[in-house]
Amino acid sequence: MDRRKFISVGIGAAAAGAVAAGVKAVLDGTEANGAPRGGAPRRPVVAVVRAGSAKSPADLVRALYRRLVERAILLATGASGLREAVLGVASPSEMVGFKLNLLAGPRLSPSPEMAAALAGVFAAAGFSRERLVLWERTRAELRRCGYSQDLGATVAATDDPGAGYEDEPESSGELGSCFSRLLTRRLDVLVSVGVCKDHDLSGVSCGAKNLYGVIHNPNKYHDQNCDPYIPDLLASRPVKKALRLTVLDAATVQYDGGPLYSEATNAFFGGVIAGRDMIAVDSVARSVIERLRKEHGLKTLKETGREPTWLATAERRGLGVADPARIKVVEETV
Amino acid sequence: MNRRALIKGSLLACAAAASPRLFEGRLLAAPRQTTAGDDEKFVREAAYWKKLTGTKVECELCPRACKVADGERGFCGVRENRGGRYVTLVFNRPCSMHVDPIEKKPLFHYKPGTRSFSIATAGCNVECKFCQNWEISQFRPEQIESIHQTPDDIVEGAIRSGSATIAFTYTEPVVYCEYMLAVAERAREKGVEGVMITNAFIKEKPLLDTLKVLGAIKVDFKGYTEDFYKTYCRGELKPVLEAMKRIAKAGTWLELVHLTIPTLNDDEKVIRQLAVWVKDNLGPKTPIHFTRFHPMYKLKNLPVTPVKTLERARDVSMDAGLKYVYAGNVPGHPGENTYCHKCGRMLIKRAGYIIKENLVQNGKCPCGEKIPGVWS
Ligand SMILES: [Zn+2]
Repeated sequence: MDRRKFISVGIGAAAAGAVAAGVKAVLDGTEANGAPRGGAPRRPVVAVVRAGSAKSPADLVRALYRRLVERAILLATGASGLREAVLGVASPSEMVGFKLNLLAGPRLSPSPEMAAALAGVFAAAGFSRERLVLWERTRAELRRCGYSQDLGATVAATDDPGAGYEDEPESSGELGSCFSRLLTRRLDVLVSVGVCKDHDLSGVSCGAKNLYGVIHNPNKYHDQNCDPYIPDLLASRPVKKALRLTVLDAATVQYDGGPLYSEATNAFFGGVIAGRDMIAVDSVARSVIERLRKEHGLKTLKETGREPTWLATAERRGLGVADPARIKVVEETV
Repeated sequence: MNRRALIKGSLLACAAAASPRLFEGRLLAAPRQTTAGDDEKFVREAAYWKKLTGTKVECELCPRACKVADGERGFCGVRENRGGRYVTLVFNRPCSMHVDPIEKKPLFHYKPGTRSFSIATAGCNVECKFCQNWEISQFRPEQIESIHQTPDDIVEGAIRSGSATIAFTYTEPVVYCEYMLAVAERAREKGVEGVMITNAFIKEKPLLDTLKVLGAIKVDFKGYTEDFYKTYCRGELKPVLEAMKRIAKAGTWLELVHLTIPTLNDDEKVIRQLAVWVKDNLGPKTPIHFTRFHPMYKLKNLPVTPVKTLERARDVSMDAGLKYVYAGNVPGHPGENTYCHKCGRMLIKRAGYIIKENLVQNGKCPCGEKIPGVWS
């Protein structure tokens, strides 16, 4: 049975500026007003879809992920049907690249089952497997995380022969980098496929921080909690022209000790978080992380000196909506 | 062909060569193998770092003092936190090996006319928008071609090529200091001196260790304002000044290069201030080279430095009391020659990196005055 709830986060004075309040609604499902709200058209939608039956990441098999992803994309796009939802993101004549964040290894990366489910949703809408590309920086990372098997899509790495990085750096604000040729030459559409985790420097690493993997020199951009570097990256020509969707594998949410896996500081969340507005997705993911930190008696990210200020910077620059009060969070359990 | 490919090309050529040999001034060594899929053999525990809480570490190599989480790298891209242990990824991993004239470094008062076996690994701890070697300095080691060369291999290559020195250069040697120290120590045992071409953005302890094993240092000085360091290099001026004072105090031979960029660091007043600082803190006989900028990397919107700008910088610096001031990257210019600080006689006539004439004997001008430097 589907339990479907529309939750509007942060409306009115009570929730203004209170990230945790929005999350409480997301996590508890305690939306006071159960009916869908007709927000302003510019309010981005973030879908949080969780598997009610799953108790651990192992329960999230491909078929279950498929249901989560389908619902998440449908809700995030507001389309009336799944095919329409997918075709609103990309056309089957385009090359769609799903940038995976495999930095943390198999226990805290988008699972191949989830990636296969995501590719399957696109395939069902008419995309050939050649036009669906699951990619990451290196083959070694892909292998380590189980991306050697057949997942119904093409698998590629920037370090593949013939790929690599562009010869010349491209500037965007403070950032200057050589972009992966997969993004600049092969792909038309960029889907950021990340996880929902704490990050020691950027505060959180979800959809946006994942894109540090499309440039050759990410280590140059960790100062000041990655602010303004993440917004600069999102505003860069190769990313801006291609980015259309963000999908987070939130089977596990790591609320502290990131970016690598930390056994002691993660929680099973059993869900997928998706949206067209990456900053909104990351803002909601941040709320989930903050909420879990609070539950476990940890300080807020701001108190620990790694507030993801880049979220607000990105909003000021028109790259998305970070203010929880202006994001429409749609939660559903399947 | 772009430069990164060229560098790669030279190393791939290396891989094909049966034994070390010289070809057009470039050493084609006999590497054991390239690094593809083999990154782990270059990993060593790093020097100069400390543990913070949990698995976090702080790098104590350069003033940037990166605080690095598990799985992440420092700003330089060649030092990585692995489970709370900080490692270097570039030990025995040069990405570039050439034999250059020592004048190319440039070191004008250090063993003139000799060859310098010049190596680099990937990485840098600053990011100059005008970097001439950004295709290796601003990349991670696994992103560029490199070969396996132990300190013994490097020293052997230097000796075979008839080099008097091994230069740690092209990128930033500070970031591969473990490798540099090992090579320089081994080299000194074999009668070959190490020289470092550096931004001097380094903390005191590693600098003092480095000074113990090097014969000379050339500092690429960026510009005499904090704003220039911050805006164009993502570095800091003050620690560089401190490091240069330490080098001078230690007595290690020191020369400075000031890449003079139109409108950005060519203000005569500021250059005069720099000259006065050098005179007061490093000594009036410290050589300084004002070299010509060519548009590169992220600074392509500026013209090549006019020769007049270099001449003015030279005049201003000599007027401020510096004795050995050169104009660089202007082959054939009289500002490339060395003149005795006492009698004014031309002692070394140069054309680019070539020495046409050298009158320095036993470290002295024919007038009998001792000329600062290391002459044999
Ligand atoms: Zn004389």
